[in-house]
Amino acid sequence: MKYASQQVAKPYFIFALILFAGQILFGLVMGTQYIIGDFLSGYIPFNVARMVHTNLLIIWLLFGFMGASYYLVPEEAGTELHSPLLARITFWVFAVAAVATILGYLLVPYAKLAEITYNDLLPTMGREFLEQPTITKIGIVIVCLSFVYNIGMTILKGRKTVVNMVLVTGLIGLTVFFLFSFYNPSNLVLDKYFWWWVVHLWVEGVWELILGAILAFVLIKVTGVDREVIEKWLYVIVALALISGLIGMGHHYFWIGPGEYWLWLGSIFSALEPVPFFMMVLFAFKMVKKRRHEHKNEVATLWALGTAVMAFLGAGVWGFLHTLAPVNYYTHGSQLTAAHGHLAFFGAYAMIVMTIISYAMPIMRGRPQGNSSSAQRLERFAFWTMCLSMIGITLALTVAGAAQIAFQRLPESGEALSFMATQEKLIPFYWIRLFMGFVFLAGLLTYFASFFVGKTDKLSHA
Amino acid sequence: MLNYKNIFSSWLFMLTLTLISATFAESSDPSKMAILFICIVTIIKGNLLIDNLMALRHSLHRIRWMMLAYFYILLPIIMLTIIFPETTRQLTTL
Amino acid sequence: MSNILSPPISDLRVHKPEQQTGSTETKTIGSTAVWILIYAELTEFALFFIVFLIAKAHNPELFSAGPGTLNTTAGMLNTLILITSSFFVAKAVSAIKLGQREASIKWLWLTLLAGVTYCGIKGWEYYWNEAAGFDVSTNLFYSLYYYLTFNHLLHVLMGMCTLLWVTLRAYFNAYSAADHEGLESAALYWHMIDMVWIIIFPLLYIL
Repeated sequence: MKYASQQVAKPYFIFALILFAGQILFGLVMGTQYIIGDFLSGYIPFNVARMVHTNLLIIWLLFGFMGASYYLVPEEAGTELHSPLLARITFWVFAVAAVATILGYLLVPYAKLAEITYNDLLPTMGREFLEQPTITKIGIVIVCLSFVYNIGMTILKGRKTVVNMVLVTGLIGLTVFFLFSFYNPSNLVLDKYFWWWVVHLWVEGVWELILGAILAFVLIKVTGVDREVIEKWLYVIVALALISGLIGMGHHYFWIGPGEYWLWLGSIFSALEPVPFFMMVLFAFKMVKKRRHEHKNEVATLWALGTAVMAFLGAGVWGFLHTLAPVNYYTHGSQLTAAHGHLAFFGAYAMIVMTIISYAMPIMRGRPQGNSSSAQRLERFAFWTMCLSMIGITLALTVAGAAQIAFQRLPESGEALSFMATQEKLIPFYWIRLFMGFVFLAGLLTYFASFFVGKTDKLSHA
Repeated sequence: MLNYKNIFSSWLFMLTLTLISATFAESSDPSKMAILFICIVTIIKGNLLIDNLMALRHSLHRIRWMMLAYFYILLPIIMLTIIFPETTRQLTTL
Repeated sequence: MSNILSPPISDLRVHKPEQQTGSTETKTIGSTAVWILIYAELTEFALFFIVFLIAKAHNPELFSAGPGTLNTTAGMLNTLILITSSFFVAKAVSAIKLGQREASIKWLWLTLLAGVTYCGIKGWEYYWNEAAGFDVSTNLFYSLYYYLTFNHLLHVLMGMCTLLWVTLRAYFNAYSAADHEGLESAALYWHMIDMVWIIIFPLLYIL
């Protein structure tokens, strides 16, 4: 670690992982409810569990991105963080707001929560992923602004590397697009039109910048390849990601009100979206092959390669499966969508956060060349368990989705099964999904355990 | 390694095999023997492509087997499901 | 490092027989990333094939009548053309391995020409279907036929863009007998497209 202020990343990473565990637990609750409808329904109804599952995901990723930025920006800029104190304060503000919001979801009926938080003054609640009370949303904006300010000032005062610039562009985009969560027109078409601008322009646009920047940073560190080479790749990837993603996002505009030309724009541009993800795979493997030194933190390299591959599979391949308008006509909002959502979010964004944690945490804990080999072995096992079980979840949901489409969507009216009758038939696949979910939990617990083992072993100093 | 003679003869052989299997397209319900024959022809074509045109015969053994497995596993599945539609139907009814 | 990349990746290094080089010089065919891509794509198509087979088993009359209504000539011509294009691209790779850049570029252009011909025939086939009154929504057989073949067509277009890129790179002297990983990777991807079609052709048009 080059600068003392990089240390502020640590609480962000730790808290992100705690929220991650929460997300998985609520996922398991829902996975069970898919099969046993009234499981815990008196305490955690399905809609609440889903809200907690998705909100925790987004919040822990934000914590992860913030931690990553606080860690890598000072090192890239070659200067201390502008204000470590502000970073610590925003951590606590954000953590308290996140916990309070989640508790609000769990303890108070949603309508009551809206009432207590004066949602009627500026109604923004009640939409998927944007369920947070308005006051939490304002809190998120304040946290993001102070975070971007802190990062921005650090970059302004120091070296302006490509990694830094791409990262901060992504972070500004993240903040700006979040503002659309406050726009809540009564026209449902308009509402939906801009609703997609928040989470989906994140994941298909600006977050890819953040992903690219973090991946590039870790690759520079673990491979020692010239910065110029990595930057050249980063430029191409980012350009392709934005060109394909910003308009490709139009694949959400099929048949929901916006003009028919979106069928073409959305299909063509989103069919190109796998390209930048594949470039990332090419890039990661090429850099590791050209590595100039053997970094002892081998598992961080594994995470970096894994992120590229899994992001390509989840976002690229599984997205492409159902992105063309004539296909999407039948697959829209089926279990196939859930399959894609799981693998893409895990492969691209959950894994990039774990990549930077895997690289940065050992350094912040005084192990510049990575954890002891026993800890790395455990982490590697956790990596494979989580990746393979997530692929298992994805395949189970893909088959369920295909069956759902065959029963419910393709047949002419009259022959088609009802929604619930279809779900009844999909239960075998939901069992497989739930089993894979538990395997994932085992992987996650192993991952957590890897932080605590091998302390007494001889550290693998270079 | 790429071998000039192998590339050329594989190409000719694959063209011939394609023409032969295309003659079966005339009958709307191919016999079991015809199905077996077409699947074997397809496997041979896959083999030629992988070994000679992709030049994997003497290299990258694991990758080569993963590629060959695609044909060795998928084609028998195709053959069996087509020859035994009744069983397939039973197995895939939810 | 090798142990974390175990085992599929470390296997990509081919150990040349010792008597040839006298050392354990390692060599790779294509980039690791392209093998991941190829296997991901093959898996994707395998899933489509399985869907097709299940649908076929559940709708026997529809699916045994289906192939007869398709334009077999177009399907067969496209098979011949794709196999030929694979031959061309294999020649391009073998030429660059011998350091014959001009010849390699010539073979790449021929591959691209075959790709264009493929697209032309596919266009004619779709046009022919339309004239005969068949489209995506005719029945389940046609829906799956269009899903599979159109998806394959998109892969062909993608493969052609990649080939065009490596052709231009070859033109600007980017590849040599010693270093031609990019060209080789593009060629492997193109072979994968051919592989998939080798299965699509009997599955859709004959059986």
